[in-house]
Amino acid sequence: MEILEVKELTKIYGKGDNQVIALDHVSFQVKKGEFVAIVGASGSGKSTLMNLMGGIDRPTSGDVIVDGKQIFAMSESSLAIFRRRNIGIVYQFYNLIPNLTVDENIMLPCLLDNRKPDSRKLSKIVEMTGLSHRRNHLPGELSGGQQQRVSVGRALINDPAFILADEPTGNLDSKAGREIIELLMSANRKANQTLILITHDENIALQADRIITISDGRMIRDEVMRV
Amino acid sequence: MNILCSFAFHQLKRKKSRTMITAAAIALSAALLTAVVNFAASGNRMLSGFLGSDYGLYGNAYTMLLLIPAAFLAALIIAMSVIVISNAFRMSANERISQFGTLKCVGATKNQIYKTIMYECILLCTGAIPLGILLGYLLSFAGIGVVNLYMEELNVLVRSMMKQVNFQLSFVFSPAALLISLVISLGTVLFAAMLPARKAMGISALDCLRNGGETDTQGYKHTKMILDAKRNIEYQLAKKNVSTNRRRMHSAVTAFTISIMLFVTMSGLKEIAGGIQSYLYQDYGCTVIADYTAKFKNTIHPKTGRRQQECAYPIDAKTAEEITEKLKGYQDTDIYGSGQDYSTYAAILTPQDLTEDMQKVLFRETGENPEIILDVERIILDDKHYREVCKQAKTAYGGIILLNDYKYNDKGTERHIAPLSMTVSTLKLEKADGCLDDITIDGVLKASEIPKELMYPNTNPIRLIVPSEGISLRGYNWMASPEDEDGFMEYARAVLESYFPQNGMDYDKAGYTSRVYGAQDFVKIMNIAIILAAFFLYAFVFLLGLIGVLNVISTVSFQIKLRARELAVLQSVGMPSESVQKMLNIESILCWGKAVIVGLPAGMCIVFIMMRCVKILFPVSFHMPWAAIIITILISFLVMWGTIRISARALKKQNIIETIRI
Repeated sequence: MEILEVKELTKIYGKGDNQVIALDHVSFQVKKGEFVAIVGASGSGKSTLMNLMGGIDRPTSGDVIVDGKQIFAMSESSLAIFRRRNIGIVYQFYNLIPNLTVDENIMLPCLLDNRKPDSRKLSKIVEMTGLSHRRNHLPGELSGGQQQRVSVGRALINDPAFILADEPTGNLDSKAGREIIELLMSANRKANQTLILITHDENIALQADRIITISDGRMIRDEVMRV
Repeated sequence: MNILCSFAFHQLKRKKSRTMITAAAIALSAALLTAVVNFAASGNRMLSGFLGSDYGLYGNAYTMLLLIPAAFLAALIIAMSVIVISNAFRMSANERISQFGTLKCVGATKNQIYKTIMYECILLCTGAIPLGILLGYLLSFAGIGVVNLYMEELNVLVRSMMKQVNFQLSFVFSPAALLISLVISLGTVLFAAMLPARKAMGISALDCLRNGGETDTQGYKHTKMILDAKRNIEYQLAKKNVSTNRRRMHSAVTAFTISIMLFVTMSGLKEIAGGIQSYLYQDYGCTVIADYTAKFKNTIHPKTGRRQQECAYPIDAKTAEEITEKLKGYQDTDIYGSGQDYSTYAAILTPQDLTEDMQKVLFRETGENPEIILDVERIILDDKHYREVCKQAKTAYGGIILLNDYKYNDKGTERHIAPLSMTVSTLKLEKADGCLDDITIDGVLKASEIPKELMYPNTNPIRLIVPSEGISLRGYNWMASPEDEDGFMEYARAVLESYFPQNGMDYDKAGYTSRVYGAQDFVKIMNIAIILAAFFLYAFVFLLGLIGVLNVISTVSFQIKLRARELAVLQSVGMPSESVQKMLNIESILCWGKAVIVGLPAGMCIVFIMMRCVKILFPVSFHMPWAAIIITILISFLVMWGTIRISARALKKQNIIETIRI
């Protein structure tokens, strides 16, 4: 069953001589529980693709269908609500709210929905991230790796349709980076959580079920590594 | 606590100094609005007590008199508050833009971003507006106290001229006024916060993450200026910074401009009021004036179409002379009695009868006319002074004497000219009903020879001192300089009351009034009015200016902090900290210069326009308020310079590498 469908996705920045085609008719599908790595050189269009899949940016043409819903047919507010309930995003630079504790940052998508998450579920996620002893700490009191684990926890809290991780290890040392990938893979394997990981690290990409290669805005390869 | 409210609360807690400055601006704005509304309510109570609940005959005029200044002042406060408070929230939104980006990425809606800023506003309002309203009541209470310090003196003066008058300004606590203050204050702050909130909610999540620091990404403008190594680099960088970042400092410069403009305008207004006061100050050569004035009605004669005056209770010359004699009885005081009749006669003249100067004035006003009709002022004097004038004019007792002087307002300058040529010896006078009387002029007094008792402000072109027999007039004055002023005034009141009993009725009901007052009482009243007006206007401008200054401090310090990385980069590439400071100093001068270049001429233009309007009515001398202008320039410069220096000093403590890495 396809959880994500990317259809002829094109994004063009600028006009006339300044026109840059960041993404050129990219299409693929992702099945439920799949771990997909998107690789490509710097400036190849990976982040643009991620922003479009996450509904943060709008395409020049094409469509993204998440769980059977055309996300760009939605209004901006509906898309924001859809995003917080169905898509978990992990950034390279964590993007945590500095004045919220670990628990609050993880709960943020639920809090924006004016609901408190199940405390057992929250504890499970906190435990999974290995931050049980730091639940009331602020992001500024955590290491980079710990902050990124909070970010992963936040992405998982709503049982999203898929997790989008944009270079989640790019700002971490190798040990912390490994731990994050293990955390994400554990969610993928144990909870059958769909994972789309953008990386330029070949070793990480090789652990995925499938590798999509982007170059100059085009999808040049789609390799299935394991079934 | 709601998560959005918690964000807002945290932001206020984190940025304590800006929170304090914004809260102070909101409180001051609410205080000023409350004070204006409360003064209007107190004024309403005073006028209702004095004129009746509907303000009587001129109700609409009095309502306008109360509402127009209140609405004008409220509009000024609201405009200034919106600029300042909006700027504070814009700065807050700018600081949190990357946070908004994160929130949007994890699914916050536009509306939730909007609410975050509005919660911040509501939290601030919760504390600042009640405080401001309280402060406003304290201000109006203190203001009313100041007014009442002068009110008793004012009442004594006014009572001596207008009987049965008692002005009293009392502190009014009206729930309606409180509600109005609350609604206007809250509305102003909410509107001010709404502008940046709407802007922030409109930015896409991607832009928030990319730009992470400025809601207004259009803030930078291209300039043609290219840095030239041969010229002062600090100056060039400062100039480039000011012209490329002009929107960032826009609100501070605007608030400063308005403050400068208001201060200059108020100072000019005070100069104008002083000029009017000097003009109205007349040395009549006496210290006490007693007068009688009968009610009159201007009508148009049905046959001739000429204006005529109907008066039920005129005073005849015989009664006036009797009163003169009685008043003289008090410690043998010299009394100068005079009465004027402005409306019985008009003189029919030819251009040859007039001097060239008079012709120029008349032709400028009415165009060339072969037959000239000019209003005649007939003056009667007490017997003693009439004899003196006859002697001075070298004419026999019983003669008609021409006071050959016409005073007029020549575009703001008082000019005296001789209206009739010296060849004129007879005048053809016409009454409103068309009856003609030919009179012979027996003597002439030039401007320099006219007694100062007869040099009052408004005079007719043709002025004749005539023998008093058989003449009845609408009014008569008795001027004196008694040794015991209070005793004489009491005596004179008793004399006038015996001739013209008021029986507790006012001028309107009795059909006449008699008054005894100090010759300078009017000037004193005006002086009190000017002092009070100046006190309130300066207090108003000072508080409004304070809101502007708070904005300047808040904006400048925020901008310096926002530019910490840019300044650290400059230092890292070899710019000494002295040069950075110098560049910032030059920037402060350029921003201050912008405010002064606009605010000063705008204020001076308003003063000039006001002065031109006043000069149509009064020939007053006027000077630009240069002292106030110099003070404004100095204070505004010190505020801008001082804020930049203090803000920049905080940067010195920062580590360049750490700052660059942020």
